[in-house]
Order: sequence, then structure tokens, then C-alpha cells
Amino acid sequence: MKKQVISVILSAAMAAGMLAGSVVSVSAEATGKVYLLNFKPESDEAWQELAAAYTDETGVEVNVLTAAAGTYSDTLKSEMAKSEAPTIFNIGNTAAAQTWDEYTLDLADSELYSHLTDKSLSIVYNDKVAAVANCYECYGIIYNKTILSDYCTLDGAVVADPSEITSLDTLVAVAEDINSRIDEINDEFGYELTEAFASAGLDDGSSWRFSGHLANMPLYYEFKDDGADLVAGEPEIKGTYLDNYKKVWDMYVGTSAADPKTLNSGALNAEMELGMGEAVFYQNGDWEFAALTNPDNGYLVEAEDLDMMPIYFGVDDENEGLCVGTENYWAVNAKAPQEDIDATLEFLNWVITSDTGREAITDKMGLSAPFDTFTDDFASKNAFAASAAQLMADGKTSVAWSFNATPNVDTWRKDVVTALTAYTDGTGEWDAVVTAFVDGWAEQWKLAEEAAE
Amino acid sequence: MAKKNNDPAAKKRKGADVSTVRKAKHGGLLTAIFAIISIVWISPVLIVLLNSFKRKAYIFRNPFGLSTVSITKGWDKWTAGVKKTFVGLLNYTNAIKKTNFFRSFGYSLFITVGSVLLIVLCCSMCAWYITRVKNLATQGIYLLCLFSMIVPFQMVMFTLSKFANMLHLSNPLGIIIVYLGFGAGLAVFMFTGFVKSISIEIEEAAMIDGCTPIQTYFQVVLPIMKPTVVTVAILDAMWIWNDYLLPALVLNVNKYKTIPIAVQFLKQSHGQIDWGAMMAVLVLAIVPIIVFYLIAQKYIIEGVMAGAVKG
Amino acid sequence: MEKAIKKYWPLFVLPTFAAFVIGFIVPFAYGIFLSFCKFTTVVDWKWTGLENYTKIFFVNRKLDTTFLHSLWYTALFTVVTVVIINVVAFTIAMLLTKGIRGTNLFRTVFFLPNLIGGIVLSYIWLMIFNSVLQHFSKTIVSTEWYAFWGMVIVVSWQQIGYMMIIYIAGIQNIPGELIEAARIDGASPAQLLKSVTLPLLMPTITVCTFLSLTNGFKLFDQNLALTGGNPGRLSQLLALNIYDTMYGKTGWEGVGQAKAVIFFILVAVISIIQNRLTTSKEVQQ
Repeated sequence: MKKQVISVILSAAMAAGMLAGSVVSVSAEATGKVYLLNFKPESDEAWQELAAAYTDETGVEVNVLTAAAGTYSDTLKSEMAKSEAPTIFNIGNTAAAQTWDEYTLDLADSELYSHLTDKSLSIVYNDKVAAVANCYECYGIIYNKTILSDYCTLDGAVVADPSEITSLDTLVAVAEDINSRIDEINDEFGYELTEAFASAGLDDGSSWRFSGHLANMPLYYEFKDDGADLVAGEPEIKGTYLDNYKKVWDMYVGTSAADPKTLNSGALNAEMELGMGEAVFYQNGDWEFAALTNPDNGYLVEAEDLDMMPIYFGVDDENEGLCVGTENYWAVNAKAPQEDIDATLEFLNWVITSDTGREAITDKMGLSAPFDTFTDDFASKNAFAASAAQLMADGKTSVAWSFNATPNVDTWRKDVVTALTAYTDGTGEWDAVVTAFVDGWAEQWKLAEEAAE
Repeated sequence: MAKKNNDPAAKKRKGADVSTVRKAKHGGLLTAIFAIISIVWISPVLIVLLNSFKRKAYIFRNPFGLSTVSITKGWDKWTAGVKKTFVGLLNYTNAIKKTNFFRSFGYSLFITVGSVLLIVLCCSMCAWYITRVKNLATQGIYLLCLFSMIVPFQMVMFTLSKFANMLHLSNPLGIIIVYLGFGAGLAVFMFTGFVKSISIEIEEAAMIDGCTPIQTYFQVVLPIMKPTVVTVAILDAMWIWNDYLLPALVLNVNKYKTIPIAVQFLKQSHGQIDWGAMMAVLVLAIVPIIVFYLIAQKYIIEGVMAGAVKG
Repeated sequence: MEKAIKKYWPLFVLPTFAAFVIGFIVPFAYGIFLSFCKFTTVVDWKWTGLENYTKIFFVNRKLDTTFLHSLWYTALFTVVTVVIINVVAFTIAMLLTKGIRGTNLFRTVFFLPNLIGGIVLSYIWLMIFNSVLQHFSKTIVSTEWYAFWGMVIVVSWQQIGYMMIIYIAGIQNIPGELIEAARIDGASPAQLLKSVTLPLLMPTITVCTFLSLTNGFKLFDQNLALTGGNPGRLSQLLALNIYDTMYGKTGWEGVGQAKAVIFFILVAVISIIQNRLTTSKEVQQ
């Protein structure tokens, strides 16, 4: 009998030891915690610092996890199923708001929403404000103003000033001319230029620039023609403007030093090429400003070298502005414990009202925030965002982020990239790109609808 | 597996006999050939080591060279090119900062050591019990363990990671229990095989002398099982230290990244790979393994041999 | 004695069994169940019968060959790696049991890659492959066959050392006098190999073959890190295909789980065949 008691006690002790981990994590929940699942890899460090600062200031625990590029939906799905689920997560569009409908808290009464300057920068779904944009961004063609201006002074330059580039045809001519006169430019001005356009990497870490951001252009103009909602899209597309897409793509590849057959190696680094003054043009967004000017990266370009022009597309070049929009909306997890929700709303409000928070957003992340608290010192210092504002002031029409409508986005993009890679390395035809683009769209749209049933 | 000879010393002697007989011919030539093959074999690691000190721009442009210019252009130009190519420890400081490497190392070490200790202790006890006590329940457990060995991880990954989370096991302490559960099959199987081969008389004698089963187990059985303990420990340590998918799905990767997870996240988290930092992390990940290998080589090789014979 | 031990089960069996239930039994049983359901998390399932299984092969009423492709691609990969790994490992083992100088050092070197995990290993090779291939305007994901041979090289490099160790153990287990007797009878080295060494090594060969077989079939880390399934999904081995289905597309978790069940059945069949073969060989001996 005695032995039996001892053995039971011993085993109980062992079991208790095994469960110790769970006991600790349960008891910590009493005060309310914040867990942000961050979408943007490049702002990871700034968010981690911000979280630490908030914890120092208030004692509230803030965790930030940044999903790896291209894996946000996977990460969100797996994290949401965990007991310590994110309290703030990112949704990119109405479709995501639909997927996560049960999880999104109505933010209509939140202070966050009251500070939002342009209420259209929120996602309304199922009669609630499901998510609020935390920034708006723009993308286009980043260019090195200094090198481009110097090129313009050469004999026989296609344009006399960078501002004369206002159409796709001009841009193609300039890029081709620069690319054929690399040595001349280097000799004349002492640069280490190797190409007009920075490499168009088709590896998983870079291909979204073309299957997402560049693909936006034909989508946008087609939705516009059809009178469809510019960011909600339509179930079927015709690919009316894919010839323009091809023309731009051919320019990217043809005026770059990168071998078109090895674009998917993952060894290329377009940001570095522009940063080191090896390339003049680089299609990307204003979020690159922070990386390009961060002294830790050791790049040669400086803030005053940098500017951005629209992705001229040969459709409506004279009126076209930068692509302005966001796929960064904060949603708050309605299924989190109430104390966590409270802590989360308080944290978000602190981020957009406190000096520390505003400084992090404006300076460290280099974002343009759509809140009325970002004035004076906290207005965006991002040169690219300033270009967007200038173009808007000049009466250009900003291009909406129509790619947000993409159904089963990872799958669709993967198929487009596969076809684009084959076309570019010479093993495939352009028609396959069109098929992946147009037929793939209709198919994924149907599948996404089925899955949502 | 049939074993002709259970006396390891005799086995070794015979192995040696074979060797000496054959030694005479081509010994020197073979040694030379193997020396060359060995260098080629290990060269990927050496190339990574070399490149981990290079400026990231030059890793792909000139992966096997030392300088940006050919040595035929003169010594001065060549050394200048070398200076331009190499950045000292910059990649290492970057990589350690970006991946928080030492934390990852700590988590990997904690999880591996903890899991291995728990698996060895619990599974050997379980194996002894189910061998000595024969009834339907113990037979059932044994069969389930056998069965679990043929189930691939993909079969349980979704449900396992969800349950682990529901049970608050998404931390380094909790994942040890997950590893015990998922690793129990093989460990119990191997220990059972060994327990079957040891004679029951010694244990009975100990019990008659007044030992409780617990004392019998720890003072008599466990010491005899030492070779199998080493085998199981080595096999499981190799598995857990390098495991990627299970911890990536089960752990709260926000807080806890083991080394393989840290490496994989370095690839993904900044869009395009910073190959400088990647090279440095790879070296940092390999060094502890090599050190451990050189220290425990004898046990590792023996563990693998024994493990294969039984598995 | 059995009686005395019996009541100690809470101490001896319970901890392992409890963890085993959490870590294996429940996830396994529930996994089978969920393969017949539509679900996004484990609690909100809806019974859909065999729909997940048909969706593996038919999408939008069209034949979808992704899974079949990765099935035969995996099969081919497995066959190729099994042959390469075992032939090379056996050869090295034979040469390293001749007692040449430096045997221990060579053994150490050949075994080393095995200790480096699949993820780390793959990035080492990714860098090397792409550095070399760029001179030929290719990358490791230019076509599914570059990816294929890339993975074959990585996996061979990793596993040859492991199998070599097992073969060395097997060879050293062959009684020396047997070889000696055959030699005195005038057997040539080729005859010696064919008539003495290989037959006596059959158990070892079986073990190594099946170890490399299941390793090849279940390969995941190297696939993920080296090729990521690119180009397209053409270099996806089964394990990555399942992972991609389960975590890549919302609403497809059930299909992923159904694929996992099929995968499990395939692996189980291989293992059972292995078991049969090993046991029968033992009887013969």
C-alpha cells in the first residue's frame, strides 16, 4: 500500500513537472498583452524597438512577430490557431476581411479610427470597420536622380532633363540608351554603373514586384475600362493590357546587366545594385527609402539622389501618377480575451499619438501614416512619398492597388511567375504568361469562392 | 538482424585480421586518393567558411576567388582586390544581430538536451515495464510504438501542432513533451529489444535482496542498458538538433527560434537574401556540430552502427 | 517479480504514454478523421466525406496532375538516391576496411555532412550550385531536372557517410577466416565479392536500402530550402506538396490532410515490405 502511494505521488510529481510550462503561461495572461503579427519584413526591427519602448513605459507586454516575406497568410493562419493568437493582425483587402470576418473587431468606435484622416483608408465589411490602414504607400520606378541628370548632359542623350520622361516610349528609349553607353557614362562622371534597370529577380524574395506590383497596371486599367471596383476586382479578366505589361517587362530585363536566364537564382540583389550606384532605375516602393538611406547598409546613394516616377504603361501616361494604396490594415482580434483587446487598442493609440510611436513610424519605418496626429515634425520625410504628393498636387491620377483583388494570391502569382520565368529564360512562350494571368485568374477566383462557402 | 558474434572484442579482432591481410597492396596510393576525395568532400564547408568573410556583393560574383582582380595583374593590384573583397567579421556581427544567434543556440541546446534526457529516461523505464509485465495493455503500447515508427510527420503535423498549442506546449519546455511523444516509438522499440536480451535472474536476485522495483531499475537495469542509452541519445540528438518542421509548427516562432528556424527565417524575412549574413550563420551553425562531433565521435559512430542494426 | 512491478505503472509507463497520446495517438486519429472534413482550424470542421480525396486529383472538374507529378517525381528521386547512396557508400566502406593509413580520419570526414541538418546543408549547396551554374546561364531551379540533380547531390553528400558507417560495421562482422579460406581456394577479388562478401552482407544491404528509401520518400527540409518546389511546383516532393497544400491556400487544409493520409499509406507499405524482407533474410541465415 505504502509503495503504491509513493509511486502515485512520484508520478504526479513528474506529471506536474511536465505541465509546468503551461501553468506559467496561463498565469501571465491576467494583465492584458499585445501581440502584433507584422506584415512588413523591412520594418521588423523598428517594431521590435517600439514594442520594447512601450513595455518599458507601461509594463504591458508587447510581442511582435514578423512573418517571412510571402508567407503572411500561412503564418497568420497557424498563429491564429494558437492559444496566444495575435491580437493585431494585418489584412490586405476585402477578401481577407471576409476570410477573417469572425476575428475582426469593429473599430468604428476606436480612437484609432477617429484619428484616420481619410476614412476610405479602412476596410468596411459586414457592417463593421474591420480594419484601419496604418500607412499608405506608393510605388513606381525609383531612380537615381543624380546619375540620370548627368546622363542628360551627354551629347545625344534622349532627354535633356529627367522631368522630360513622361511616357513609356521615352522611358524605354532612355533606358536603352543608358544601357548601351555605360562605359561612356562611367568614364565621363566616374560612376560604377553596370546597367540601366536593376535586376528583375524572379526568385521568391523578389518576384512579387512583377507578379504583384507590375501586374497591378494591366489589372487597374482593365478594371477601370469595365467600370469595376478598382480594388475589389472582377471574377474574370481579359488581359487587354498584357502587351503593355510585356513591353515594360522586356525593358526591365533588356536593360539590366543580370543574365535573363538566371533571374530566379536568388543571388541577385536589386536594392544593392541601386544603392551602390550600379543601376539607375529600380521598380519598387517608398518603403525602400529607409533601407536605401540607412547608413548601416553602407550604400552610396543619399536621400537627395533618390526620386520616383510612375510606372509609365503606355495607356494613359500623361495623367498617370504613382501607385498609391496599402495592403496594410490593422485588424484587432475579436476573439482575444477582453483585457488583451483593451491593451491592444491602447497600444495602437499610443503608437499613433506618442512621440516615440510617431517617430518610429515616420523616421525609422519611413512610412506615411494616414492619421491626423502626423503633422509637423512627424510628417513623412520619405522622398518617394513626397513625389507621390507632388504628382497628386500636379493633378495626376494615382493608380489604385488593384492587385489587392487577386484571388488565392500566392497560387496565382506563383503560376504567373513560373510562366514569366520560362518566357524570360527562353524556354517558354509569352502566351503561357497570358494564360496564367487570364485563365489562372478566373480559375482561382472560382476556387476561392468555393473554399469560402 | 542475425548476429554471428556477440562479443565485440572478438569482432574487432576479426576486423583487424581482415585489414592486416589486405594491407599489403596499394596502401599508399589509396591513402593519397582518399586524401584528395576527403578534401573535395569537405570543400563545400570550406567554401562557405571562405565566403563568410567576403563582402556580400562579391560572394556570387567571385565565390571561389580571393581577389577582385587576377594575380597576373601584379601583386599590388591583387592585394588591393583582396582588401576590397574581404570585410573581416562584418557578416558575423550582422548575422548575429539579425538572427539573434546566441538565443537560437540556447533554445536549440535546451530543447535537444531536455528532450534527449526525457526520452532516454521515460522510454527506457516504459520499455522495461512493458517487457517485464505482460498483459494486453503493455502489448498494445508496444504495438502502437511499432506502428508510430512508420507514420510520417506530415500525417500528424497539422493536428499535432494545433493540439500542442491548445495544451500550451508552444514553448521550449512544452516542445520537450511533444518530442517525447513523437520520439517514443523508436526509443521504446530499441530499449525493448535490449531488455528482452538481458536475463531476468539478476533483477530477480535484486528484488529478493529487498530492492524495490525503482531501486532495481536504477541500480541494476539502467546500468546494463548503457549502450542502448547512448545509441538512443545519439540518434535522437541528431534528429532533434537539426529538426526544422516540427519546431517551426509547434513553437511560438515569434519568441523561440531554434537554429534551423533562424536560418530559414534569414532567407525569407528580408525578401532577397543577405548572402553575407547567410554565409556567417551557416558557419556559426556548423561549428558547434563539428566540435561536438570531434569530442563524441566514438559514441556517435557506435550509436549509428547499433541503431541501424536494430532499426 | 511481475506482480511486484505491476502496480508501478504510473511511474514507469504513464509519463511516456501520456506524451505518446498527445504527441502521436490523438493527432494521428484526429488527422485521419479530418481528412474527411472541411476545416481551417481543428475545432470548426464540417464532414464532407470523400470530397478532399477527389479534390486531390480533380480541381474545377479538371484533372489536376500536381499531386501525381510529385508522386512520380518523388519515386524517381528515391530510386536514384537509393542507388547512388548505397553503391558509393558500399564502395567507400570496402576501401576503408582495407586498413589503409588515415582510415579513421577519412571515416570522420565522410560522416561529417550527416550531422549537419538539412536546412543548413541546403543553403551551403544553394550558394555553391548557383555560383557554378551562373557561368552556364542556369540556376538550380532553371528546370525541374536541375532541381532534381541538385537535391540528389545534397542528399547523397549527406547520407553516404551514414550508410558507409553501417556498411563498415557489416563488413567487419564478416569472419576473417571465411575470406581467408576463399582466398586460399584461389577465389579472385571479383569472385570473393560476389560469392562471399555480398551474400553475407545482405542483411546490411537491406537495412541501408530501406533507410535510404524512406529517407528519400520523406525528404522535406532539403526540398524546402534548396528549391522551394520551383520552378512552379515542378520540384515539389510529396512532403512539400502536402505542406504547400495544407498551409498555402485557405480552404484546402482538408485536401492537404487527405494527401497526408495517402502519403502515410505509401510509407507504411514500404516499411512493411522492409520488415518482411529483413525477417525472412534473418530466417535464412
